[in-house]
This record gives sequence, C-alpha cells and structure tokens, in this order.
Amino acid sequence: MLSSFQLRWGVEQWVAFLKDKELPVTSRTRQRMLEIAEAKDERVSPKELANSVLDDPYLALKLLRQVEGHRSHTLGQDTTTALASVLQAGVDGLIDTVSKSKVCSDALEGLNECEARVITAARIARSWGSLRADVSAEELALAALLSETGELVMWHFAPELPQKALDELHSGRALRTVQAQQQAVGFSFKQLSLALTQAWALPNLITLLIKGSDNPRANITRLAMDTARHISAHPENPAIPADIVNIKALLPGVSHRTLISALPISEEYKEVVLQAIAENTVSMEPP
Amino acid sequence: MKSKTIVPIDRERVLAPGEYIISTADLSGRITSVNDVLVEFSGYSRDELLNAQHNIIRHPEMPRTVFWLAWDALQSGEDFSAYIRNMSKDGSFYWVFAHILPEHDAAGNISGYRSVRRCPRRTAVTTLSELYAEMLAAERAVAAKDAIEAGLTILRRHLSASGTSYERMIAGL
Repeated sequence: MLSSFQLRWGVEQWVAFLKDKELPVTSRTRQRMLEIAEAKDERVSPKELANSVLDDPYLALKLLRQVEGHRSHTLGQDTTTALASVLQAGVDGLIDTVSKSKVCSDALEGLNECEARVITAARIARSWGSLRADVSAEELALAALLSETGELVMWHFAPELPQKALDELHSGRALRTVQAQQQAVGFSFKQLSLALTQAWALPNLITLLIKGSDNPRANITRLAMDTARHISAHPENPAIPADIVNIKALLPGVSHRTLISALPISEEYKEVVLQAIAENTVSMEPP
Repeated sequence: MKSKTIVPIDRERVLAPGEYIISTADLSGRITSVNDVLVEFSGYSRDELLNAQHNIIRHPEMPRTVFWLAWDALQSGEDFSAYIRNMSKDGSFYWVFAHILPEHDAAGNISGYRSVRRCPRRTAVTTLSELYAEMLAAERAVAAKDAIEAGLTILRRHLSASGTSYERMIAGL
C-alpha cells in the first residue's frame, strides 16, 4: 500500500526509492533454476542460461546491476549481452542469485502483459538483429528486454500506479499510453525508464532506444518493440504488415518471409500478411 | 496546393492487397517523399504532392479529431494507427489503414514522420464509418474551437462503453 506522499512522488523520488531495491525474478525463472540446481546438470551451457535471462527482464536487470557493480571499469566495454552477464556472474552465481531472490507476482495481468511484451520484443530484436552483420543481435535483444524497465519495476514495487494508468486507458479517459500514465502518476514510465537506466548505468543502447536516436541498432530494436506491442494489442493487428514493410526498409536484402518468421503469430496470419505484401514488387519505397 | 473547389463525389477507389502507400513528411506535415501508389491514388503529380501539406488528401467527411489524435501521438514520439478516408484530386475517395511512425535524428529529436498505408478491412470501415459520422456531427454542432473536444467526447464514450483502449480497438477491428 502506497503512502499519500508516494502517490505524489515524481521521477526523482521514485529513482531514489528504487535505486537500491532488490529486484525479484519471475516464478518461471525460479522454477527453472531450482531444477538445474537439483539435477546438478553440468551440461547446462552458459548459452542456455543466457536464454533464460532473456526470458526474464527482472533477472536480466538484476544481473546487469550486479555485474556492473563488481566489474572493473578498466575493461572498457559495456556488459551488453545476456550471455556476457551470465558468464560474468558464473553459473553457480546465477543459481545462487535466483535462489535468494523474491518472486514477482504472476497474478497481475498488467505485469504479465508488460513482461510478455518485452520478452517478445527481445526475441524479435534478436532475430532481426541476427540478419545484419554489423550489429550484435544479443545486444539488441537485451536492450528491448529492458526498454520498459520503469513500468516493470513499478508493477513490482507500486502496482497501484501502473494499474491506475491502465484504468485511465481502458475507461477512455486517456487515449494514449503516455497520456494515461501522466494523468495517473504525473510522469511517463518512459521517463522513469530513462532515469533508472542512467542511475543504474545500464548499457547505452537502452538510453538511445528510449530517447529515439537514429542509428541502425536503435531503429531495428524500436521496430521490434512496436511490433511486439502491436501483437500484444491483437495477434492479427492490421499494423503488422506495416511493421514488416518498415523493417524491410532497414533490412532490404532480407525476404519478407524471413522477416515475418520472427513473429509469434499464427502461421495462417503470417500467410495473410505475406500475401498482402508483394514480394516481387521492385520497390515500394519512395525514390 | 489543395484546391478548395474539389467537390467530393461518391466514387470509391480500392487499394489492392499488395499495394502500399508510403510517404514521409517533415515536422510541419509537409510531404517530403511519396511512392508511385500515392501518386496514382491521390490523382496529384509527384511535383504537386512534394512540399504540399499532408492534408492535401484529407476528405471533408473525416473527423478532425482523428488527425488531432495522430499529431498528439506523433509529437509525443509514439506511433499511431488509424483507418482514414482520403480524397483524390477528382473528388473520389479511398479508405486506408494508416500506420505512422515518428522518425528521429542522431540526437533523438523527432525529425519527421513516415506513413505506411494499405487497404483496410471492410468490416472495420463499416464499424468506423458510423463512429466517424457521430464524431463529425458532434464537431459540426459546436464552434470550431470546441470541435476537437466534442469529437473526443464521442470517442471516449465509445471506448468507455467497450472497456478498451483506442489502440486495442483499432487493432481488433
């Protein structure tokens, strides 16, 4: 239950409050790590564990904060991939961290939706990122996964507030997500994400992503996030063909079929979208 | 420039499933690039479209509120989807499902907008035609300065009754 003071807090107060809080993990992560620990399965590769990290934005955030806190800054590079953070934490370290963590609620529909949305965005970003030689697909995936950090931490530490924002949206009192958040809380969760990203010294790509900077890595990741949000709104969202047209403009050498294969939508709707995009059109783009 | 003398006529042109209208505009809504499909459907030449305000193809039967919503979202850095009835140079109309994205410069400032439009679902057009007619009537019933609020009131009432957000309503039609 939030105090009357907290209901009036701005971004700065929330950052100060959240900065040193211990983050939870999802119940799915806890279960998976317990199984690995009990089986004492030494064949579990860091890559498989890295995939587990990309399935849990709280865990990814927790590990990044942990390894960034202990990392020698003389190494000079951001810990930007889930794999790198697992390797830095070590397999035993990861199991230990998860076993000591609280578990976030899986009864909050808004939290589940937000979590599913960023996981979907991360998978799409990884898949699309792997189609360009000059970007790290893992880095894009991690940035997408942490792009809604502000909302996710609020769902765990102050669920009344994101719920209030959703109520604004679904009652018609607000017509856009950001407007709903500003009406309900006084700031947008995007602002909070940006402030937390800076307070926790998270990878720079996340800042570029949230700010909207124009570079290939941020643009691909941002389209992955938009597409994930469209799929979350409706699995047959009519905006999905436009998403494929837009990503094709960034990855012109890749077929529409390959691009759409990254999306978690039905095979039937994929075919509908593909039929709606003329593969043989020389160029739909303006000259 | 859009001629104020264009008289809307009751003739619809329909985009084929594989046809996409793609265009870009600057911050003030001036068209900066167009593809061939927009040239064909709008009836304007490329030269007439370039540097013209995007409302050159606005149909008078479209509620102003929808365009206000689009600008409001885009200026906040959000993408926006809508079903829109556009008017060609000869007065005929064509419906599109429009998805508009803000574009950014290297510093993260919004530098313009990119719009991808395609043929809409007919069931969505039928549903929205009724809602748009109601919004338009509300806009016309009040002074111009109050028109947007009047249109928004109708839209909010519609969303509240269906318990959904604008984005989800458009996605699910």
